[in-house]
Amino acid sequence: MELYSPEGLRIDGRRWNELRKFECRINTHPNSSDGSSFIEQGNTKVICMVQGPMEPVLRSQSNPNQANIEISITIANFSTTERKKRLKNEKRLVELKATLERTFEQSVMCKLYPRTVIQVNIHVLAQDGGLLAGITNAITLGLIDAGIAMYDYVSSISAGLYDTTPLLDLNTLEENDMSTLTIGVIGKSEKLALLLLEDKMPLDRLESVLAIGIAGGHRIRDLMDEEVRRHGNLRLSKVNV
Amino acid sequence: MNVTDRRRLLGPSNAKSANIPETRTSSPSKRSEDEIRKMFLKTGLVGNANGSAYLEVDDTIIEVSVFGPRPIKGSFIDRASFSVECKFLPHIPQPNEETFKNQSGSASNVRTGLTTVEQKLSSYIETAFLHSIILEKYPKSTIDVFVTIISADTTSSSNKSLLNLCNWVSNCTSLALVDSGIEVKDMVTSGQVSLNKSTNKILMDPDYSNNYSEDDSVDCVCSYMNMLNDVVVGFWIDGNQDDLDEQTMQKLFENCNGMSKKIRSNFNSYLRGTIE
Amino acid sequence: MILSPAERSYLYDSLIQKPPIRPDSRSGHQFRPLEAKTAFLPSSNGSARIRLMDGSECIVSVKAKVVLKSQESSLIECDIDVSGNRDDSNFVSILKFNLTNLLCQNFPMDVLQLTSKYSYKLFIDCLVISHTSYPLTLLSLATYLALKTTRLPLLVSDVDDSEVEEQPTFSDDWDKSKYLKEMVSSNSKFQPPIFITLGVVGDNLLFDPSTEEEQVLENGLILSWYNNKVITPISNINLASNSNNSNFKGMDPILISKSLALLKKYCGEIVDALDGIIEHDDATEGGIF
Repeated sequence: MELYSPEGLRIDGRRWNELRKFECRINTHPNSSDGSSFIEQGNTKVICMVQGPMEPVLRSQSNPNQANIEISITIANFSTTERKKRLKNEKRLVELKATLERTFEQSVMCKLYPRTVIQVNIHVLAQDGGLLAGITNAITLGLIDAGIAMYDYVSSISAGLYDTTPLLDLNTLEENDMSTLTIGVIGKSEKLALLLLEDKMPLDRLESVLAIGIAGGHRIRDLMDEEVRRHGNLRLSKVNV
Repeated sequence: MNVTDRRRLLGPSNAKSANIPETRTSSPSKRSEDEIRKMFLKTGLVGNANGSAYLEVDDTIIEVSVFGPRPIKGSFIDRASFSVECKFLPHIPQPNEETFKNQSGSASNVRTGLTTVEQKLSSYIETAFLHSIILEKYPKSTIDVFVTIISADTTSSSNKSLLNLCNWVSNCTSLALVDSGIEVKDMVTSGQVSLNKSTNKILMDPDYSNNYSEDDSVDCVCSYMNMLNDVVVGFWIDGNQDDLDEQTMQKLFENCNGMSKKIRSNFNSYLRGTIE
Repeated sequence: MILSPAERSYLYDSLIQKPPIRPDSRSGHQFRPLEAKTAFLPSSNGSARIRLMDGSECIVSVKAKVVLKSQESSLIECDIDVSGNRDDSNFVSILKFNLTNLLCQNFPMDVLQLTSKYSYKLFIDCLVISHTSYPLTLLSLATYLALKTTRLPLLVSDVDDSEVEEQPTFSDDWDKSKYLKEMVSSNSKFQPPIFITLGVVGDNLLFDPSTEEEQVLENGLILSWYNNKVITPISNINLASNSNNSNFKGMDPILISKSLALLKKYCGEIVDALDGIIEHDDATEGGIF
């Protein structure tokens, strides 16, 4: 199997700097949550539901200075081609959860909501690479829908290195065969809120991979912004009538 | 040279093998269709529980202890909270557990918490006794029932033996509650019957272990409070029934009620005996 | 939402009227409106999502796997995940027990047969994303839709492999795949079993009780429906999640007989409505939300 052909085509026919189909929706669960979103990044599908800011159940969860963000991730048994039962306390998931919580504590204006908790529930329905990126984008949109103040969008994308060529937005097959990093870009800037690299990547190539990742992140931000504006206009039109 | 086996602790050379009697070939007892199997009852066996009961019917052995009313910590509640936990002893095979066990998946064979079958039993007992216990009498407290199944008949691979077990567990729990002195509206007693579809015959307290090969039956366990207008507090109908009509239902309920009344009179005479 | 004693008493008094006055102005035998979408998960053989107006939502996926018949005790395995509840909690276990029990006893297993040695095994995974009332009906209706839209690839190898060592092979062409409903022998319609929950208040039986109603019910019934008949298992249940429902009491057996008659009267329509959803569901319409 050839991951990157000499003609410059990847296994799914994309070029090195092309994203997969990215679709998103916000306010998908208006009756059961304060903010919700659904994103499809290629074949990765994630539902995000945000509750809060609300009073925490336990006293110990409340922080007098800022809001607490709690993220719970459920990966459905049927999300991969081969069905697999997953435990809630799987190490990888716990780490993913910690990474996300740290990212969003910095990106949300937590100081505005002291003594509260923001509960984020993630359901992964299908996964085909870019799991962390998908979840991050879904949370960003969910928080926006819940009306929680954020400094800017956190748009996330994965990028990998094939030999010397950086590739954008990897699917499962590519992810399994090359070193991958996931970044979360803050708005239109070149600042990163999140960077996760679980294997080796040569230092001299890092810059090119980051550059393509940031460019991809900006594109994702635009797509998300489009959806937020579309939904905003829809709501506005209802108010005027 | 005689190599001594160092890996095992060998017995003395003049050891005799234990005399284990041959497994009892249980002859199908000649019961009539509306006769209940003989049972052995004993209350108050567990010293540190507020009430307890022990019951033996053929291969089914059940022990129930009731703890409570015990005070709870935390905020005030105006009625006692009631909980039931049914557990099989670890080495006991559970009725029909194959169906409800997740074979695939990462969960190992170690039993953590209650199995699905145990949860179902617990739930049945909790629902059946919720109405009977006067929870209003015990504010800010809990009443906990612990059921241990020491032995159970599991030869049938369907839910039928589970139904029979449900029946005896609920009867035993009832006795334990009486022993604990917790105020109840009435004693809950249960009956379990099996209706053969082809012959339309009712079998009371069927023994599924003995050459019982009727797949063509509908089975029912039903719990009553007989002094309160024979009100149904819990029921579960299972079996291969593809069309359940009102007549079948009535027949099942009538016979369950009959059996529950018999058990009730048995219990009554036992309890009277303990007082004297 | 937990009701205050005054609210409970008001609700109870209105539900015990003849006919009952329900807070959402439904009649006793009416379901809550629901919306559904089928066949939206590309990596599952069948999938469905049901959503109620109060935000309760359930996603069900059906995946098939080829197994050796001799090694499996059951050809259907259900798994339930309820958001916010532990997998080994009583709540989830009972849901799982009920669904597994219903499907294992009442499913035309012969459609899963492939060859004399091999067979399909169905993995039914239910994900309850949010729920307010007891989610069993929701789960079972979603399972119904998922099973009805389940497609299995076409077997191209020999059916009889009792003599030869051969693994079954399948056609690569997904257009040739068959729906489960097409594989059932033609004289019977493929309608998987469903659960109906009924609430009991006085002499009234209420279909599909909402979360507010559950808090004042005197008892609850779970009945199953298959091939236009009421079937076993049926049982009673305390639908309120806490034992704090002070209205909970025993019931007259007459009511249970009455519930059978009610089911016979209305369940046909429920199943027809579900079939209607599948027919009108446009798979080409993008996005599941």
